[in-house]
Amino acid sequence: MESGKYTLGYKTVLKSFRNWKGKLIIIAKCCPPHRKSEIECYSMLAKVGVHHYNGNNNVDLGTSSGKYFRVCCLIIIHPATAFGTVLHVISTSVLGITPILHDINGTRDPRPEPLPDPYTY
Amino acid sequence: MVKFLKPNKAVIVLQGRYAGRKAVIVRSFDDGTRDRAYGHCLVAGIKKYPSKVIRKDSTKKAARKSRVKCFVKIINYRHLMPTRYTLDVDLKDVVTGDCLQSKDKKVSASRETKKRFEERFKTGKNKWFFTKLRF
Repeated sequence: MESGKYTLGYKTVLKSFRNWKGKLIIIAKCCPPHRKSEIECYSMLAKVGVHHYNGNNNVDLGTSSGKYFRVCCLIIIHPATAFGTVLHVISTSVLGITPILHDINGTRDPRPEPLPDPYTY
Repeated sequence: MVKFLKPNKAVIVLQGRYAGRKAVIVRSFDDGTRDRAYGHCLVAGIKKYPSKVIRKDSTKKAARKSRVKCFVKIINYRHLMPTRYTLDVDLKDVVTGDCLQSKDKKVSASRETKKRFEERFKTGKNKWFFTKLRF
């Protein structure tokens, strides 16, 4: 399967830390502060990047992941191929657009949209 | 991802009788064993922290206050909070896999770790580890 691997949710994020899997954590803005600092603590020890998603709340993060539920934190285990959807999330959230991430959902577009230039991995 | 639940890592126990106590990982089993199908580790921790020794204390009292009571336990990774601290006390020969099989082995392992922890406490290093976590 070529698409990226991810899991959603606080419990699976911690589980991935304990299994030494994962490349990037994305936390919603409305994540409770204790939970946010716990995830940040674990990621500091594991040297994993944390990205604070720029949407309004966990509803937005859930929508961007293509799900119909709220997502407070998610971890990306394998990013999809080079023009990664990970980068797509980050770049578009930085631009302030909430994308529907087909790739993160598992159905892969045959030709991914090219990323805007300034954003290189 | 960097592995952080490694031997010599100081952790805080979150659940059980020893919740809130600091411990050091002696041996970690990331993939679990046949008996325990989850990630767990063998830790040696402090059951009773040493009290604060003041200048006024006589040597006898200071010695009494510097006592550390230890425990040895196998704990699931879920029930630990890793910290950024490490404690490099060599406990590998003392705290082994089979020391939890019988009560007297466990007691002798705890006694030996108690000695090593007390030595380390008296040198004044690793102060964080020997202070009680306030919560």
